[in-house]
Amino acid sequence: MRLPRCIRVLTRATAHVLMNSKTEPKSDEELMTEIAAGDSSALGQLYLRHNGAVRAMIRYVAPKMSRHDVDDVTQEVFLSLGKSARLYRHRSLFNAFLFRIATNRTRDWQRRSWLRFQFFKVDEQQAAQPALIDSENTPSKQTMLSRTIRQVLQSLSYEHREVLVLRVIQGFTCDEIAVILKIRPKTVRTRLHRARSAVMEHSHASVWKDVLSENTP
Amino acid sequence: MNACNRIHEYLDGSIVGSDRIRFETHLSDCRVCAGKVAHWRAFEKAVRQDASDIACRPDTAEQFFRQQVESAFVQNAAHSGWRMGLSRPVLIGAAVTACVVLFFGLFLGFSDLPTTETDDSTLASIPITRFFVNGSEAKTTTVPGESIVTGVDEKVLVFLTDDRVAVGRNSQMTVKNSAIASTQLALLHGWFACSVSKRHGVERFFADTADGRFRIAVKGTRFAVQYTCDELAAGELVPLFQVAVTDGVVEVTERKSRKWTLRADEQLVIYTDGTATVEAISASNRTVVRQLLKPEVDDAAIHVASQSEGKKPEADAKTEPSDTAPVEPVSEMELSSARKRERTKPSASAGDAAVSLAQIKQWIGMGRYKEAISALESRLKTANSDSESWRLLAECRRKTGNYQGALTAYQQVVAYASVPVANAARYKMGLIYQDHLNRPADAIVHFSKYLAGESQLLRAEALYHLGKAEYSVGKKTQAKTHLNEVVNNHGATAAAVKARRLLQKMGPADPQQ
Repeated sequence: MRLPRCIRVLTRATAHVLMNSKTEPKSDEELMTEIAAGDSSALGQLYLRHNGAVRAMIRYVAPKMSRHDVDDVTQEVFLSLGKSARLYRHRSLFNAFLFRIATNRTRDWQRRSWLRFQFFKVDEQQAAQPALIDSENTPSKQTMLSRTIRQVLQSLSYEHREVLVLRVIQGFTCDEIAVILKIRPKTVRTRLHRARSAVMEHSHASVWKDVLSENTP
Repeated sequence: MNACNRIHEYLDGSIVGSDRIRFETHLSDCRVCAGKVAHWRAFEKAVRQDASDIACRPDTAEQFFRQQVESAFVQNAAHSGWRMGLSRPVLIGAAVTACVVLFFGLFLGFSDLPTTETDDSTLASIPITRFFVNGSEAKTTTVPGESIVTGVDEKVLVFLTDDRVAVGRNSQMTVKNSAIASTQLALLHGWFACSVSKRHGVERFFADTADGRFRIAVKGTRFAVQYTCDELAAGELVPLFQVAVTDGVVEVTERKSRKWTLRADEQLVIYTDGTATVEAISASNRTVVRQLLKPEVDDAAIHVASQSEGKKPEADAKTEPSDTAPVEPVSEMELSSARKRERTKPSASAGDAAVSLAQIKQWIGMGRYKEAISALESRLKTANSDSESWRLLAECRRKTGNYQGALTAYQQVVAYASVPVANAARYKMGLIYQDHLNRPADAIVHFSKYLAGESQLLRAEALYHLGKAEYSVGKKTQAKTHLNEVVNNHGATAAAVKARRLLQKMGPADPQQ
């Protein structure tokens, strides 16, 4: 006896949903293996999974970078990830591998922008519309918060900013940051200590106080 | 340890256990630390919240960038063979090649060259049409190599030589001034290979080797003089000196340090032991150079050489056979025979003297002036009218700083020597008066006598020095006249360069003079 067509369709759809629900998402390491084999869709999955964190890190580490530059650098990071997938070893932490690439690409951009500024005399402030505020016409509370954070981070040196962002936003430990930046853990702690002290000094500013007072638990 | 100092360790999470409890107790007591920790927590929270907002993007944008990344990755994968596989070996190979080239260039090849310009590839080799040996024209079959190096215009250049340009020790060669002033000159004879090209204002070059092989290789605007002696392996050339011509003056450097600056009337004599001295060019030691396309140059040189060797003092002529005094030989065959006769003369006189003139000349070249002076003085006791001995004595005294003695000797040269040699002695006396004794008036007298004489091989230099001396005594108008004559009539000489400088220094003419 043949079932009606609508029941057959529903049964097939239900089975498909159940099968899909049972399959667990692939881990980052598995996706890296597939990328090394030449699967571009695996790279797309990794991109969807991690591009937000990478973009946030790039924006905070390089506050002068425009939104378009952030997108470009993020794409470069994932393209580099795809190219260097063969070099990835599963013993290492994937996030450390990814953010090492991200920090290197951000440094490359910093160097290029410095050269561009030196040779073409492009005003960095004008050329690079800050990504955090350029789409806002009237500054809201969130925009104010973003602008204040950007100001605080801009007051730090590049090395201190790098360590602070990796520690605060990405939640890496000092040892992991040392692996990412290829420096000693003690150096990481020193930089983090100085960066934190500088941030605490800025917390006395009036604008910062207002923002913090709203976010203070 | 103060608990306030551990706030960073607490924030890092490196304080655990009882220490952490103790610090949290401290936080409840210390408002400052509590405020710092609260601010830091608030900062962390604000940053994370802001970061999460940044990370959130519209789905369309996410998909768009995802597609971009995937397509770019696929395109890059097509070139991965070159980037991952081939690029590294190619780059390593290129680096290794560059290192090898640099090593051989720096340590083996280029170190011998004084300059990076190596434009000597334009020289060609063609058969000889005429060749003169010992004053007579020789057949081409007798010429070693049967070829001669020419210039870029393929003009055949041959040279007329005397017996001192020969293979072996104590052979000498001097390139004549007027021949070097020609456009192209190239010489090749036995062990000697000399090529000089006139480029970038190269006007004069004098070289005189006493032994071994000697080569001047043209390297762009500079010359590399390579020299070897018989003790070295055959064919091995040792870079010895580097010669550069600037402003008409030949500058000789050895291992990048300036050794000599040759004027137009001076020559560099190189000896077997590596020593070299700067000496004045004598007419008797001048190899006559002929360029076929400019016979007038050669004719003048032949004339001068014949005068220097033909006209002997009367005192010497009395002691010698009558056939040793040819008068004005007009042909090259006569000149050859005259030179052959001349060769026999010093050997006879050398037998009488304790030390031969050749030995004395070698001493002079080696800087042993005192021995040369004593030998010459003893030699002159027996032959007081030997003008060559007087000339050598004058040179030795001048080298040792005995200028008055040199003047006395030069006066003897004027008295006994032939006209060209005597005239050259007057020129030397003028130089001594001007440069060393600071007597420009006497220098003017001698330079004027030189310019009034028959042989004026150094006319440009004499005019320049005359003008200089006149300028120093205040005769500005006469000085300008003579200097302008140098500039106008001998513009391609070193004296003209110096004359122009002096004229610029003198400024406009004084109408009252």
